[in-house]
Amino acid sequence: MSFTLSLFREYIANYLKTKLTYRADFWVEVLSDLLFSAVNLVFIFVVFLHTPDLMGWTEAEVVFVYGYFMLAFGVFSTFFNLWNFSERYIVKGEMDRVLTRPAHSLVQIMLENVDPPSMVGGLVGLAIMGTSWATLGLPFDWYDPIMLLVMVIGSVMIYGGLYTSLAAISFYSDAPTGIVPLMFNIQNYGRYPVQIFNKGIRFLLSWVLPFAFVGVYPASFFLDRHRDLTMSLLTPVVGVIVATIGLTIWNRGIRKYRGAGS
Amino acid sequence: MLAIEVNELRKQFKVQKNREGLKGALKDLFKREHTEVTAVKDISFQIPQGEICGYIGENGAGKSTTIKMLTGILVPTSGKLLVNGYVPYKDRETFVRGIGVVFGQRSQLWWDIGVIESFRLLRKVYRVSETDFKRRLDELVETLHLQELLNRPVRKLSLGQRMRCELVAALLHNPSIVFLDEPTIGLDIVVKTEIREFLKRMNREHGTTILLTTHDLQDIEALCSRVIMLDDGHIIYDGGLEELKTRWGKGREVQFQFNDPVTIAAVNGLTSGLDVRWTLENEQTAKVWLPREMNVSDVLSRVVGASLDISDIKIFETNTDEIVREIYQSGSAEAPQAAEDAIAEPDKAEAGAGSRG
Amino acid sequence: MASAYLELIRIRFLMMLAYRVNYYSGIIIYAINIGAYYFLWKAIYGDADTLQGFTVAQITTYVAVSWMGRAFYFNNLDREISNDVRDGSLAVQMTRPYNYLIVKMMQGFGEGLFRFGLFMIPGMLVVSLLFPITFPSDPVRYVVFIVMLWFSFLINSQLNILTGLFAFFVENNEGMMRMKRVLVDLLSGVVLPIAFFPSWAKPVLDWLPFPAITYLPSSVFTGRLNGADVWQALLVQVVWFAVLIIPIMAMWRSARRRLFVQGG
Repeated sequence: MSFTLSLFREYIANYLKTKLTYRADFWVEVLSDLLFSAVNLVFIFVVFLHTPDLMGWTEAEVVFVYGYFMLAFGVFSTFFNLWNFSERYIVKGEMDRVLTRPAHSLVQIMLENVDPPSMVGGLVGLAIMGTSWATLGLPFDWYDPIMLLVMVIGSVMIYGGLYTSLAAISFYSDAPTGIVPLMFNIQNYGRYPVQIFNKGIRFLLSWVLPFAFVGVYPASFFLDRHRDLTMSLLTPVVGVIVATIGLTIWNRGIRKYRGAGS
Repeated sequence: MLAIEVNELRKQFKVQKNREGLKGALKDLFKREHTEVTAVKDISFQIPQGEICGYIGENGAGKSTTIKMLTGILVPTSGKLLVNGYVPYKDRETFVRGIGVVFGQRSQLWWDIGVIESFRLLRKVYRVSETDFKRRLDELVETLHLQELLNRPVRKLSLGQRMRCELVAALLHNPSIVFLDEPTIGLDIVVKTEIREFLKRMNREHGTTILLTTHDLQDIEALCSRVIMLDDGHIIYDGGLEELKTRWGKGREVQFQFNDPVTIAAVNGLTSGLDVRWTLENEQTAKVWLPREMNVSDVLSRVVGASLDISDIKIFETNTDEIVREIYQSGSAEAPQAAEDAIAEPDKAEAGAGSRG
Repeated sequence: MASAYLELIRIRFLMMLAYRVNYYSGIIIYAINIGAYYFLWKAIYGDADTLQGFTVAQITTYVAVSWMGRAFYFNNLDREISNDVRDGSLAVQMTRPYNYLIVKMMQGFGEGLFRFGLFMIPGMLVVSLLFPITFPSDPVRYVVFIVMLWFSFLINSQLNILTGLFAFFVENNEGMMRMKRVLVDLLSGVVLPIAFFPSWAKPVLDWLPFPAITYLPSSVFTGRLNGADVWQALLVQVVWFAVLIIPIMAMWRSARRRLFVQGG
């Protein structure tokens, strides 16, 4: 673990040196990240122009959930920047190089692609949570920051596990690139109160692609009016399970890759 | 001790078959067909520590696949494999700390930042201590003349400069075995020579075992005491370079440049009674082929002793290039065939030399 | 020449077929998308019968047909072009006896055709079994819709080409491509019909090409537009198609000059 952490420091340092040569890129990336979030917020605002609430959830509450999502997503995208994994490592063959290095393959790939600009989106999410917290007049308990940390870690593990599994599909199939953007659409629904969906989709968002654990469930812990204690406390548990599954699929994928060859 | 021990090593791939046309593609959507391809067919060889061994073969002969198995990237289908005392695919992470790998066509360096930053990172990855790192880096930088390049971003390096840096990157942790896949591809002759010298020196000073694949047979001549030749997944030759030359060498050629025009009949007359063959290159240049067991001086004395003015004489040894070309032609190193066949049809080997394996 | 372009369409079509994981997961995910939006809209409507003139049935149909339309017109030409620019293969393409931009268009069309035939139509059938969707009864409407979808494809591809060509002029257009993608999804009306936008935003959008991509054809399909309005919507698309040719030509020309003068 400490080895991984020391590697992390080294990779971040290299990232920063790279980015200092392309400073403009950094801000363009931050900007496009924020715009992406802005579009989603606009959707929420516009929807609430036409309705006072979504099954009992007010605008501020939905925005709060969105803030939580941004925070978790920001942390996630900083570390799991695996979007062009298949292209770079499988098609162009960089996986071979990774496999000749003495560190776990997933760790190496995560570190090689670490993406700090995404963190800015996370911070904006935190700010949104803060403002909504004030708007909603939520009470602030001493354990809230700790719980937030635990929840975010759980959520990041869920995303990490899911997208690691998706990336690992490249080990088995020829062109998985098309799936990830589509998955992006689905993850959006985890941010809305699950009550609005029918049983099938609710089940899907809770237990199959548990995106609701990166949004409405953990956020509900802090929204006293909607608090779903069981589901929110399950967040870290689901996180560990999904991350384990993701890692297992990855390791199997590596084995398959090394067995199949190219 | 043996550095590399390979026994009955085999690798099979499943290759997806694409059916033709729209109808075929639609069928593939629901049911895929596969064919089995055996890239490496039960090969065995041993490489003792400190040897430089050339691993050659045409494209698709199974070189890269073997290297990938030896470096722990691929898991063999069957057979035994022991490198540096490890089974590569089993303890990959510990195993790779003792080896160095260079894929000639893939960079392992950070594209946008100074080379030195990549080296520092690799120091961490391979857990090399600061003092060892410094000593080793100084040594490598000095032998490969990289002083001024260290702070330059990789994208601003020429191919030759980059390749020297790649070597450093692969050797920082002082591996006892180094695998080089096409280390001189695309480089100019000066850099090639420099890299060869460096590899020789490393082998001499550190006793590093080197296994390299190449299409450039001059690499082999300059470096290797031993060659393993692969064809269609089988080893067709495994032995010393000299032995290969004696067994396959087809004698020598001597080229004479005369001051006055000559005819084939005239030069034939000069060596009557000797088992040689003359060819006319142009009006004033003639080449004579003589079998291996014959002394060059026998021919030289006859020609020089004649009344013709000679402006230049060149002696050609059959080079490895031709030998290898010929072996591929016959498909096995067991029974040599007539040399003419090989020289008449050089395209095969040359096509191979142009692209990568 | 035309047959070469047709061949390009065919090849891309076959290429899409080769990636079957994409295919299967794509159908499922599109269906989930439409389902999720259906319930989201139901929640937004609550007890209301109509919002902004949309009935629940109409909005459901709108959502379904918009997502399916998106399946057809969506492509990654921007990314492909900027990759070609950056790795220098565009310079190689220029030496071939065809028009690079038309080639890209044709490849995009091959992809679109694939999704239309194997995605949109079966997807629409599945979705219509699951959710209350009303299909128009007038066959003319189908024909007009198909024509409009074709223009959606053209306009969206034009925007993609413009974004992709920016790779010539800026060091990194990744951010721009991402921004374009989210902007097109929001402003074309896929996630939100234009009618729902605040009143100040609507006149602004009238001057942008985005609504022509999704909102207009989907409005025709759902029967929100009738009679002369239908033809006007089609006309708007045609005008945008024509207008967008101008910046593309201008950029293409200066891009080529850059390529020839500076060697890329």
